Amino acid sequence: MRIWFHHRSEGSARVPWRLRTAVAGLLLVLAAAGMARADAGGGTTAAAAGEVGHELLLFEEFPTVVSAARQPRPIHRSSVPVSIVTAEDIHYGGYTTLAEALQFVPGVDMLAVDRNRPAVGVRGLHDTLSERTLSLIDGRSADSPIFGGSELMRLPLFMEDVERIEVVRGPGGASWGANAFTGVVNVIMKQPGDVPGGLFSVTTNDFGDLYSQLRWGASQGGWSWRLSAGYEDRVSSQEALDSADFVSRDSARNRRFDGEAMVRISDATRATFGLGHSDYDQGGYEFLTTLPEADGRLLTTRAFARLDHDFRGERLERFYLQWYGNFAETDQPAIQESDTQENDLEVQLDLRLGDRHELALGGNLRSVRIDSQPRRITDVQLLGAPLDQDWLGLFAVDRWQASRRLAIETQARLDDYSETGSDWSGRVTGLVSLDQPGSHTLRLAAARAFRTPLPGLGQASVSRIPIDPARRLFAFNVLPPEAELDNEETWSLELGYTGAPATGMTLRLDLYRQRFDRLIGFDITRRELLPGVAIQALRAANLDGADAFGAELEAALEGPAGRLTLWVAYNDFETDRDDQIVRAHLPARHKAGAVGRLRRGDGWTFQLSYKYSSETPVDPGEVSGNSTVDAFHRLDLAAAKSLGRVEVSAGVADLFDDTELTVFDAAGFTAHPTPGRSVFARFQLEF
Amino acid sequence: MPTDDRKDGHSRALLAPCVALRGTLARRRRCGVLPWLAAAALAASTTTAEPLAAAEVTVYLSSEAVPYRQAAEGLERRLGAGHSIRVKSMPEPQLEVDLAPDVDAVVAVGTAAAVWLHRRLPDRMPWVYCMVADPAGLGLTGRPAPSGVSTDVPLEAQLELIGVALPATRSVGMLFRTGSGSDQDRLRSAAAVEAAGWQLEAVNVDQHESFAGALRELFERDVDVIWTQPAPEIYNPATVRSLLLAALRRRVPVFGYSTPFVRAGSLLGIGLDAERQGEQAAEILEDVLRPAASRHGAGRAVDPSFSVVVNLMVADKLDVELPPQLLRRAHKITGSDR
Repeated sequence: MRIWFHHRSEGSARVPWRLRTAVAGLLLVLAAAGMARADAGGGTTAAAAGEVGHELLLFEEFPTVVSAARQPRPIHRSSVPVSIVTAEDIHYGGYTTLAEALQFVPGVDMLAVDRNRPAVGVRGLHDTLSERTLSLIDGRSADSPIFGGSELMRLPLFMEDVERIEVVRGPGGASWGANAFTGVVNVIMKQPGDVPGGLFSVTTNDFGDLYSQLRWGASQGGWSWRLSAGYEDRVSSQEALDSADFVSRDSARNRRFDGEAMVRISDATRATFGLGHSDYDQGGYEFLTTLPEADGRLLTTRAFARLDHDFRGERLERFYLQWYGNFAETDQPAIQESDTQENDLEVQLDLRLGDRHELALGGNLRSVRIDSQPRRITDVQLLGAPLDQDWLGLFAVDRWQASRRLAIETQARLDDYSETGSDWSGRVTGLVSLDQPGSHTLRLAAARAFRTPLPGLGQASVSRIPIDPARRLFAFNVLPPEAELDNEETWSLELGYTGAPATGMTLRLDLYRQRFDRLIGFDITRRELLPGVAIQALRAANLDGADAFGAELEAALEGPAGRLTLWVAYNDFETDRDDQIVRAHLPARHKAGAVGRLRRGDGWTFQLSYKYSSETPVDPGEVSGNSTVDAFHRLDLAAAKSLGRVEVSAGVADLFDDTELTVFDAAGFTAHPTPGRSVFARFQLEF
Repeated sequence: MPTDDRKDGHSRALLAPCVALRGTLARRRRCGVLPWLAAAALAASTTTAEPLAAAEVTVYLSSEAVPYRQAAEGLERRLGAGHSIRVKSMPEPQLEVDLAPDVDAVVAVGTAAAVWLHRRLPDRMPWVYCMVADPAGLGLTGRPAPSGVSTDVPLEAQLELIGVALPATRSVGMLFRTGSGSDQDRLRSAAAVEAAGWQLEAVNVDQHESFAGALRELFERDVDVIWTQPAPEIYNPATVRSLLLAALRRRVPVFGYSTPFVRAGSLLGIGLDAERQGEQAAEILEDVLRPAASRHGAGRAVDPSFSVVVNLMVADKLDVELPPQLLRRAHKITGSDR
């Protein structure tokens, strides 16, 4: 049944593995050596800063993360492993998509199903919609209310407006609620006042892709704002590879707008507003045997309003009240035409109890309306649509400094979903300082989280390959579940260490053992109507569970001239049954990576990003003969030269041309190669 | 230790709480009526001050960095809506100042803009500065230099704070690099520390293979506290983290030069507010713009308002009991993460 287009041009013969490894290793050593030399030389950046006065040093912040516990925590004292992709990583890497930036994060799996559909998952379970990893933008949901998971490419945001991306590895439901199952990706945007002035940026590559952004930020009176607009155009894989061996329609045009404004009402109170919109045309792709000729159009609007108040009191610290709305109109010819509206009201109060307890209390109320009426015979039907659904969440996070060396953080959250009822998430973490100053910290944690089935699983019906359409007889069907689906559940036990073994060096080791239960897959029944004519039906059901275990080791070396991060990860995942469908790729067992950046005083900055991934195992119950995804090395090199208000950058992504892979997704029976190596150039003007 | 005369010179600064408390109590003991007379005089002067005519003010920022913008916002807010304020980024340093003919005054935000304006503005043009480190070293004090507000919290006030928090202090450690700003800081600090009756142990980072080596020597000298001052040639996130971890390991308190520094793990320190810098500059500008201004204050570098910041978690780890009068005035960081 499966049709597998697989192409590799003659000209892209693979570089021998040993040579690739040697080149990558050499480059890493050179980067480290360069940093060390610059460090010994006294730090060019520091010297440059000194030329204009050192007053800015008085306001320099030290890194904290907010995604572990909804409150700022130093990254080395967070209750769950968090990795950060910084604005500098994004800028000097020349990345134009979130997926590109995420692929170099420890423990993260990323594959390109096609040029529009990156599959990103924390510790695997990734697919076109990686529904078991929760995606957030500034803590606000960025997932599809129909299928879960985020369609990253349709989000109305610009990579140059991203302050950092925090990636939580492990269950995060106790902070963020349902569906933060294997991890959380939280994109933190730059504050309106952080980007004053204008920016014009345009990036192109040898395929002919175009990514542009025009931004204006300013402050006036108590107001500050940031407005960005841009256009993106990507050619299809077939055009990019100039190949006649396969057909692909994965081109895209995306017109985006994103703006944010903040007004300071008083010294302690501020209000923030945001509005983003994207108009995304994408070529059609095969979904459950249907490959449409027409393009899809995805309109996405995100808006929010938030009021923050800083009490600065003995007990009460901070408070915020936030509304946000996500509105999407989706027309994907092989899938459905739908309108979704999400409205979420959220409140959080941070307070202190004595000198030893820091508490965050809050909750949210979300209403979701999904309207999807099938217009075409190939459309997915959502039974009972239009659907009106409600969510209620209540959470509490307590950080208790039990003694000088022991801190215990407890997170608890209750979510009530109108379709599946109530469920809870929790996390208890003990952080033990192995020495008095806390330069070596041991972390022991246990967590529970759940994933709830959304309408795309629990109420969907699909009919494919018509035998007798008049009698609604199809050869391939996805039918609604026979019994109500239960939430998927996961428990994890984690052990971690963070430390600073040497000057400028940090080390992080995280071990985990995770149990999954009631994972939702598909029961398959096959009935033969006539000799050679069979009807196959898939029904979503809670199948068996799975066990996952692994380790991630991350070391970072930082000096005035740059930073080098090295990591290795082992992520294993074994289903209870050999033929159990999990609707996603399993994690690549072995992964390793490095990101090195070298800043020189003459305006040059170099960045090297490397990743190795062993072969990605296929969904073990895959019915249509899916194949594993090959192991790959990816090496990106980029250089940027600052010329005052102008910066020019150039680089090569996937130098070894090793990620030109054919990746099937869980709902596809065909696949084609997605291009690997590309040479890019970027021009930026600040005004 | 500083005398009361010295403290009077810092009238605009929020002095260390103990200094203020002790000074107020002493003055009240000497003459209880004086504060009331002073308040009455202040009220009278306020009511009789001539109204300030609407002015055209151009603000030059050293760069688009957020603290500079915040300072400009503070200035704009303090001056109010009656004035026309144009905020510009400083162009290339070699370019001339391009001012509209109707501009009444200019404000420089940051060292680079201040130095640039000082070289190029005509003498007749009134101007002030803020967010400037070491204005005296830049030649921005004395006539005919402008007035402004610096980012330099008086060393004496910092030492006073250390003395209150750590009364057993006898020796103060610091790091410096040869021929740099931190070297000059060392010389100034030596005098201040000596005046306080303490001993300064300064370690030259350049005489060591690595920053870790310099730290080792610093701790070998058995200092009671490590005093830091903003020195980009020494402090960056990596070295700050190394210093704080090593200091905690050896149970030596660190005095941080900024709120983030204290939040990261110093016992106590000082914090500046960029907006307040702008407000202070606006207050000076109002004096300059008044018709009766005699320019008496020309060339005067005003000390910055600053807040006292203490990290209670670090105090707990170090077994340091901070005095209540310090805690009452200080911005308290209760977790290692705040």
